[in-house]
Amino acid sequence: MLKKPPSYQNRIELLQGTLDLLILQTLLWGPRHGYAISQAIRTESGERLQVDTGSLYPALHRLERQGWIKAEWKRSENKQRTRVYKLTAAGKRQLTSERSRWEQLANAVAGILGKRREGNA
Amino acid sequence: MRFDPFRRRRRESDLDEEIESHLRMAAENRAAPGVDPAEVERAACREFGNVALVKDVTRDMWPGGWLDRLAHDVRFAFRLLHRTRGFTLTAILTIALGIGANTTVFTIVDHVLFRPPPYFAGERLVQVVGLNGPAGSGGNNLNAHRILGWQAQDVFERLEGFGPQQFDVSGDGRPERLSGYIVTTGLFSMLGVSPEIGRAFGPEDGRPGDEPVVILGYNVWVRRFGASPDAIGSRLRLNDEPYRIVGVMPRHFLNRDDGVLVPLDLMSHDGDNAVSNLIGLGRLREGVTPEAAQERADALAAGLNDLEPQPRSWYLGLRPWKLVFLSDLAHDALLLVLGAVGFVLLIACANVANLLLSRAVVREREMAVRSALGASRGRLIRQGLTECSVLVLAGSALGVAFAWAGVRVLVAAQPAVTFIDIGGIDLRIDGRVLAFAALATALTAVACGLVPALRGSRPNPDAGLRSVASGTGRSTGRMSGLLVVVEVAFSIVLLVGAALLIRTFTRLNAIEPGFDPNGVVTADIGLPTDRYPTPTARQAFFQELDGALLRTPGMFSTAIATGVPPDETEITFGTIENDSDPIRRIEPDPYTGGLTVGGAFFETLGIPIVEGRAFTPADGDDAVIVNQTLASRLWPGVAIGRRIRVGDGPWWTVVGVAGDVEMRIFASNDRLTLQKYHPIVTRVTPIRASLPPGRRTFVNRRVFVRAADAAVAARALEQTVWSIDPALPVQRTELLRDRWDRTFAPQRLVVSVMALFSLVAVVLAAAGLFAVISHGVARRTAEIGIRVTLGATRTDIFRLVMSRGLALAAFGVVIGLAGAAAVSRTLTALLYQIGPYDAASFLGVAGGLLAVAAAACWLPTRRAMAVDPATALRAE
Repeated sequence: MLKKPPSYQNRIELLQGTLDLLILQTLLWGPRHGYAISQAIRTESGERLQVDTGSLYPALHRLERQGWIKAEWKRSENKQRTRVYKLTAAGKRQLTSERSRWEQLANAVAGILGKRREGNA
Repeated sequence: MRFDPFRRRRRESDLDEEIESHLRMAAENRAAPGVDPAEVERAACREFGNVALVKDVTRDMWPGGWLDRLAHDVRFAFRLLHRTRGFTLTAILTIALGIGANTTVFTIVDHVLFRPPPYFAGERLVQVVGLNGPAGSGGNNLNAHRILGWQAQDVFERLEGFGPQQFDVSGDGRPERLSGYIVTTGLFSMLGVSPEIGRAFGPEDGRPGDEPVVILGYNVWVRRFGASPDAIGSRLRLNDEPYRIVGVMPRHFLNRDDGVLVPLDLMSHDGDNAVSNLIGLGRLREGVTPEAAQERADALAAGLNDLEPQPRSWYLGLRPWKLVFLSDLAHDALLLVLGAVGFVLLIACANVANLLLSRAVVREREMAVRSALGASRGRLIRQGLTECSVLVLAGSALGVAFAWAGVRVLVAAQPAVTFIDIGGIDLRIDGRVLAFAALATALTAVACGLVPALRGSRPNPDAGLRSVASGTGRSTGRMSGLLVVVEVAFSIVLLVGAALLIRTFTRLNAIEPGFDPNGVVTADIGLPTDRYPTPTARQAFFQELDGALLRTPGMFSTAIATGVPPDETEITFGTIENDSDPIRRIEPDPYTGGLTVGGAFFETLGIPIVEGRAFTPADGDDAVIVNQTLASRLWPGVAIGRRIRVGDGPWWTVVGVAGDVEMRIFASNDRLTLQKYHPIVTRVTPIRASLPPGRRTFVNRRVFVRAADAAVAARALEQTVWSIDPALPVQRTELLRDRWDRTFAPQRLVVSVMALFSLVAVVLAAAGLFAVISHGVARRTAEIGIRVTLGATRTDIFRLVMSRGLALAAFGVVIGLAGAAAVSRTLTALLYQIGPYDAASFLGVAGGLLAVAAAACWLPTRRAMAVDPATALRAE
C-alpha cells in the first residue's frame, strides 16, 4: 500500500483483504469519514502504513456495496457536509472472522520463521 | 441494482463532494501559522494524488460501473471516428463488402444445403427408394403394396410416397405438358402442409372410380387461372380427362410450382402394379438416426423377403432429403464458393487491421500521455477494442443491408443466374442468417481489433512525449508487414483456385461437340400411348411430320432421337465384346453412351460417318452404329459387318462407324467415350397394357430440324406438329446451339464468382501493400534524408523501398502457394483435364501478383526517391 509512481497498477488485488480488515477495524471505534480513516491507519500503524486514496476510496465503496459498512452524510463542526462511514452488524461479524483468520495466518508464519531462526542459531 | 440515471448522477455529485471534503480537511490539517495557504492546498492535492483517476477507480466499484465505462468508451469512439472520416469510411466499406458477400453466400448455401426442409419435423425426413438387395441399386420404384407393408412396420413414424407423372393439358389454352406428381393421400398431413386455397387430399380421394381431382401448382394457378379463387371447382383437362380442381399448393411445395398433384389411395391400389414408380418420403422416429433406421430396415426386409417374396425385393435405401434436388457437382461448387468468400472476409479483416495499426502509430503520443496520467494497459486495450467494435458494427450493419439487396437481386434474376433450383426455396434473410452475420461480425471485430489494441496500448512513453516520432514505429512496421504477407498469401490461394477453374472452363469451352449445333432446332415431343399405342402408329406420326416439315421451304433435313448430346443420352453398363477370333473385350463394365435414332439423324446433326453407312428404314433391331473410339478398340481392321454385344445381351451387327461425339454423364464432367446408336423402329419402351384413367405413359422423342433460319424453323416446327395433332404439346423448343452453350452454364457461373472474389482479394491486398509501404516511407522520411545526405543515390533509395515491398509480397506468395497446394486437392471434382497442381496456374498467379505488388509500390517508391534531404530533416 505504499505510494506508487503515476501508473495506478493497483496492487489492491493482492492486499485487498488486508486493507478491508484495517478499514473495518478502524470503524469499530465509531463512524469516520474517508480522510479520518486514512489518517487513523497511518497513525495507529506508527506511520508505517500509508493508504493512498486510489486504494482507499474504491475499498470504501466496495465495502459499502457488500453491506459491511454504511455511509451517511453528516454535518461537520464547521457546517460542511461530509460522508461518514459506519460499521454494520454484518460488518462486525465479518471483522471478527477476518481477524481470527489473520491471526491464524500470522501465527503460522511466525512459527515457521521462529523455527528457522532457531535452526540457524 | 437497476440502472437508474438519477441515482448515477447523484452518486457522481456525492463522490465529488466527498473528495472535495477530503482535500479540505487535509489542507486544514496541514495549515500552520506562517505557511502560505496556497502552498498548503497544493501539498494536500499532491498527497491526494490524481483526483480524476481516484474517481475512475472508485466508480469501478459501483454496481453497473462497467456499463458506465462502456458508454463512455463508445461516445469517445464515435467522436474519434467522426474526426477521421476518410479512414472510417474506408474501413466501414471494406468490412461491409466482406460481411455482405459472406452473408449473401451463406443465405444461399444454408437454404440449399444445411437447412432441413420447411415441413413438420423436417430434420427427420428421409428419401426412401426401393433396392434390389441390401445396399443394392435402385430408384423410384416403390408401389402401393410395398409402401403399405412398410407403413405397418416400425421403422418410420410415417411413410408416404410420390411419383412423377406427365400430364398433357388440353382444352382451352395452349396445349402443354406439365410435370406433376402422383401423391399418396396422406402426404399433406404428414408434412403438415396446408394448401394456398381450397383443400388438401384426404382419405376420400384417389380411389378408382372416383371423380378425378387435382391440386394445382402455384405458378400454374397464376398462369392459367389468373390466381383467382374461382379456380376451385372448375375443371382442367389432363391427359384427356376432366379433373376437378380442389386446391392450390403453397409456393415451392415439392418444387412443383409448375406442375400439378393427383391423389393415390394406397389401400385401393394395393396389388395394382400400374403405379410403381413411387419414391418414398419417410419420417423417422424421434432420436433415431438414419443409419440406425437403415439397419433396422435391412433386418426387417430380410424377414419380409422370406415371408412374401416380391419381384423387386423388400429392401429399402434411406437417403438424405436434400439430395433429391441437388447434384454432387452443385454440392461441391456451393461449398467452394462458401470457402472462397470466407477468404475474402479474412483479407478484408487484415486490411482493416492494418488501417487500425497505422492509426495507432499516429496516436502514439496520445496513448503515451494517457498512460503517464495513469490509464492502465487494460483500460487502453478496452478502449481500442471498443473503437474497433463500433467500426465493425457499423460496417456489418451496412454489409447486411448489402446482402439483403443482393439476395433480392438473386431471387429476381434466378432463372438466368443459377442452376440450382433455388426457385423452389424461399431465400430470405432470417434469424439463422442474422446469427451467422453476428458471428462473422464478432470474429471480424476480434481479428481486426486485437492486434492494434495490444500494440497501441503499450507505447514507449519516452518516445511518445518527445517531439521526434522516430524509430518507435519499427515493431508496428513489422506487424503491418506481417499482415500484408498474410493478405497476399490468402489472395494467392483464391487466385490459384480461380485460375484452375478458369483453365478448366476454357478447356470445357474448347471441347468439340463432334456434331454441328449451328442451324439446328430441337424440341421435345411426347406421344401419349393411349392415342398412339403401337410403334407403327408412332412411326406414322413422325413420317407425317417429316414430310410436312420438308415441304416447308428452308428446311434441309429432320431427325428424331431418344435424347440429345452431350448429357441427355442413354447409358448402358457392361462389358462389350466382339465376335472376332480371338474375342476382344472392353472391360471391366464400362459405361457406353448412345441414342436410338430415326430419320436422317447423322446428316441433320452433322455427325460424320467414317465407315459404312447411316441407318436406312430397312434396318432391323440387330443393326448398330458405333463410334470411332469403340471401333478402334475392338477391331484393328474393318468393323463393318462385325458383331458386338453388351454383357449377355443380343448380338448386334455393325453397319457403320460414326465420328466421336461429346457425351457425358448428366451434371458431371465424366465423359462417355464409347458410343453406339440404334435405329428407332426397333427399340420401343414396353407399354403397360391397361392403365387406370389419367395414368398415361409417353414415348418421348427429340425432334431435330436443320434449317436455313433456325429461329423461323422453331415456329414452323410447332405449327406443323399442331397441324397434325392439335393436342400434342411441344416442349423445350430451342436452338441446338443454345442447348450446347447451356451445358456449361453451371461451370461458367462458378468460374465467374471465383474470378470476382479473386479480383476483390487482389485489389484489397494491393491496397494493403500500398498503404504499408507508403506509411513506411512517410515514417522514414528523415532517415531517407540522412541517407541521401550521406551519399545515397536515387537508385539506392529505389532499391531500399522497392525491395521491402517486393520482399513482403514474395513472402506472401511463397506461403500462399504452399497453402494453395494444400487446399487445391479439394477442387479435383470440379476440374477438367488439368490437375490440382497445375504448374502453369501456380506460376502464372505468382508472377501476376508480384507484378501487381511492384505496381502498388511504385508510387511510394517514387515519392521516396523525390525526398529532398533539406526539407526532410527540417520537418518532423
